Amino acid sequence: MPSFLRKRKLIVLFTSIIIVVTIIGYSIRADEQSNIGVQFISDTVGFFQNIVYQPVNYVIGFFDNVDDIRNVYKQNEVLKEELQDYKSLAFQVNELEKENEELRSLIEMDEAISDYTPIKATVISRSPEQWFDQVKINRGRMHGVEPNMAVTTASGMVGKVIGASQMTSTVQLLTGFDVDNRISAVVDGDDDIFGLVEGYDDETDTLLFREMTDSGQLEVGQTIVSSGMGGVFPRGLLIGEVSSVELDQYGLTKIAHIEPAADLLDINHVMVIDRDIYSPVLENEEEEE
Amino acid sequence: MRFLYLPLTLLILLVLESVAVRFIPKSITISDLIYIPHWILVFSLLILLFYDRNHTYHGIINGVIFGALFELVYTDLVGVYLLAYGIALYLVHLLTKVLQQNFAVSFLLVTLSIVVAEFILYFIYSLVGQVDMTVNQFVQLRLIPTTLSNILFLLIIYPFFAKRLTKWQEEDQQIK
Repeated sequence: MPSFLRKRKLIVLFTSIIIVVTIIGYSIRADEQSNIGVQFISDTVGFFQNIVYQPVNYVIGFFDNVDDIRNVYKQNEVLKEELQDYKSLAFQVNELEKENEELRSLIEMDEAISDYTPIKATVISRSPEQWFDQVKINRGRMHGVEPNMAVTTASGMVGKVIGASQMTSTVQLLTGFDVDNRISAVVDGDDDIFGLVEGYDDETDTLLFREMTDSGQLEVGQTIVSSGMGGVFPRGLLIGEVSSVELDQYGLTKIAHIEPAADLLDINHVMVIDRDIYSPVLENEEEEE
Repeated sequence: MRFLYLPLTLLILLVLESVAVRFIPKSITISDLIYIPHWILVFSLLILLFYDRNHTYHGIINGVIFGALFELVYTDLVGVYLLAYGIALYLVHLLTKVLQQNFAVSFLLVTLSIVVAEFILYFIYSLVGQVDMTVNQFVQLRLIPTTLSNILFLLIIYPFFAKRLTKWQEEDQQIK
């Protein structure tokens, strides 16, 4: 019965195409990792990755060390010079912190928008599909990680959590940011210049910062930090430095290219930033569940 | 029960794929070339060539399931790899009826299936707006490096698994 066989094959073909399209459509909209089954799968794979990454990190670390040893002398010279400045700076910071605390207790304000609790985590894998700039870290919901939290390294912001399982979570790196993942940002020390980081330019390897205010004071060399007005990130996370300023395609607003402060290719240890003050975005999500 | 070794090997490959990405030297990651490990596809293809008989579908089923797992774990879009791996492996399945089992053929089929899978990935990802690339850029920056690096992987695993898969198949046959 060849005709019957062909009919069956056609039916299988069409149903599978329909199923695949439905799955793709569903996963574009939904946050997969809110599903328990998906959390289980990604935790199981994460468990194996945890086992593998230890020796691998050791090997990679060894080669990095060999590389470092070559540059030790030069770095030492530079560091010695910087140490002088650092001492006086540390003293100043201490003084300012103390003063800040005193002043805050005077006006009975316990929580500032810049306060946060860091959750330390280690990167256990990088997505092999490099069109998705994602890494996985070994901390999840059980440790307090929630979707939308900011992720930083010691040198600056690297991305945000887009999905959290129980034991692991997925981080979207800044290189993969688009209009869906915007960061509300300001110029450090000048609140008049406010805007959104809303994309990444692959050609120049810089982030795009669109200024919302029309101050005309955006300049090369200024430091961009998160403003805390987006609802999830605390204030003052270092994002990067302005490397060039230009008008946008309609000539209405200014767009700055920002050199990211953190090295986005080589990330090992990160901190997930859980801000102390009430954040409406996270609360809403919990209510929905 | 040797057929249980197949998903186990694929699971190990799934984990190792992400590790392999970290071993790529920094000088290469800075350049724009993209190397995607399609190890699951390559191994499923070997299963299809050396383990499967005409009426069994271990290669396709394993390939599709682990393609979907790959997406659940590493990307936030499910169904694209599933579709790409499924179509590529099914094409190979149709071709194996005509072709012999040897190294030259598997070399050829791996190249073909990766090119097919990559084009499907590129097409769907551009459709949903995940990537913004011209076809020329895609071929130069992603298709060629990816195909070459996966052929390298085939050269490494072929001597280990080609005979072994046939052996597993025969042992399973005897049990039945």
